[in-house]
Amino acid sequence: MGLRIGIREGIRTITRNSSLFLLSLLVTSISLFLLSLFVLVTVNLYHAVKLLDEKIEIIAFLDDHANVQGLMKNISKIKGVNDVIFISSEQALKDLQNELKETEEVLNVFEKNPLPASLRIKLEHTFRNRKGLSEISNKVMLLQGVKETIYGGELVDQLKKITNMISAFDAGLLIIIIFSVIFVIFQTIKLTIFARSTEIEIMRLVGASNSFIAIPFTFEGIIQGALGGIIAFLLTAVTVRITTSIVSVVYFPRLYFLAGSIIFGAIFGIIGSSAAIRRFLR
Amino acid sequence: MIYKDEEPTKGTVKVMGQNLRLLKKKDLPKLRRKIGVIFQDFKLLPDRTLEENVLFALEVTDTPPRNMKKKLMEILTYLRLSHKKYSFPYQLSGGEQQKVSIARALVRDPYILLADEPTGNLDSRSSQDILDILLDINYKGTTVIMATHNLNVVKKMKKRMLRIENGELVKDK
Repeated sequence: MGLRIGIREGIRTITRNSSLFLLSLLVTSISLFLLSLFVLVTVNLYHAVKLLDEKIEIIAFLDDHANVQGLMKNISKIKGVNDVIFISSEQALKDLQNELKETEEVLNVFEKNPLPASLRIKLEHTFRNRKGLSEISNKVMLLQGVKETIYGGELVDQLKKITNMISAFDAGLLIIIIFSVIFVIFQTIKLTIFARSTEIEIMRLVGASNSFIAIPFTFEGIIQGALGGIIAFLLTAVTVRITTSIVSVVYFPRLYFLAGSIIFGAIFGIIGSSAAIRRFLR
Repeated sequence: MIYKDEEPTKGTVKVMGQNLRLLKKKDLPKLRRKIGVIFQDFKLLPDRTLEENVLFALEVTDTPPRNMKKKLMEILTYLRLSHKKYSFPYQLSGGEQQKVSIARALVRDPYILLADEPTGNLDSRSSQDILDILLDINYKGTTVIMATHNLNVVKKMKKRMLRIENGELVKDK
């Protein structure tokens, strides 16, 4: 019965103090929107890093008479190799022609196709670093039919260092923003609770338990957080739409963002209201 | 201190045989349900009707719903407030608001009724009304403890009087 009355009291407060609730909802929505934007930037950063990471590979150029099938089989067996793709010399020329569409005549100076056949060797995640690349490259070089291998050793390491640094900075900033958002929500909920201090005093006076007193405020916190999350999601969706018209691709998993905004909004609402009400319960 | 809103700086407070210093936090609501409190400024919820203000005390203490209406009608009839049950506090006089506050305190059948300057904001006629009610409540078996600065009120009551000056008990008559 306590829960039912608590929820009813929460609804009563929302409807009777609607202007205060709307003001507090506005602050919550803007805070969650800022957090959502930052998460969006972070997600896109990680997405870009992942795409870059997947591009780390070894290219092995082959002799004219190399046994392609045998080589592919042997390379696949090397520890750390994920996939091996054969690129024939004709395919390589075609790819180059596509890339150099506007300066196609450059290739006409050659009487015959100068590009060798090659194998693109994709690596497992843990081998996508300088050490892993050189280790696998050395093993591939030992195989008969392989003329040369290339990979961006030092560049890969530099890239990893930079992305790791950015990621750490980003994670630190994210934690600060999360705490700031909780603090802002806590402060706004505290204001609404202050406005109802007589009600809390009377509840304590007549012998309501602390958990009973907290229910309406927690319920209000959940509603405020969840609604704030939905509004923040809509604002983020609009921002993404505007951004995609300027920058070509923005990674925005809608469903995850919607669910995340609602769930985290509600959790922040619970944390904020519990912390705020605690000050009134002695 | 009697309903443990304040802690004594020294000594112990015993209420109904219970040492409040030893009372666990979770048991505090149970103690408060046995003590009714009324104040000089009534402390009514302005956005609720008289009926809702009284029912509030029952609802927040998990009273079974079937008992609520019965209890409410009994107390409103006793205090002659039944005809005003849908009125909001701002539609009531000071004396009536204090009666609502008494109704809210009494509806849970407390053992003790604490009255903090209950007539402080009332005219003489309303004050007399409230004092008569408090005497009647006491007559029916509830301990009434009233704090007041008004010596005339004390004289009229003709009850045990404890005089406190600067935190010291100076008279018990």
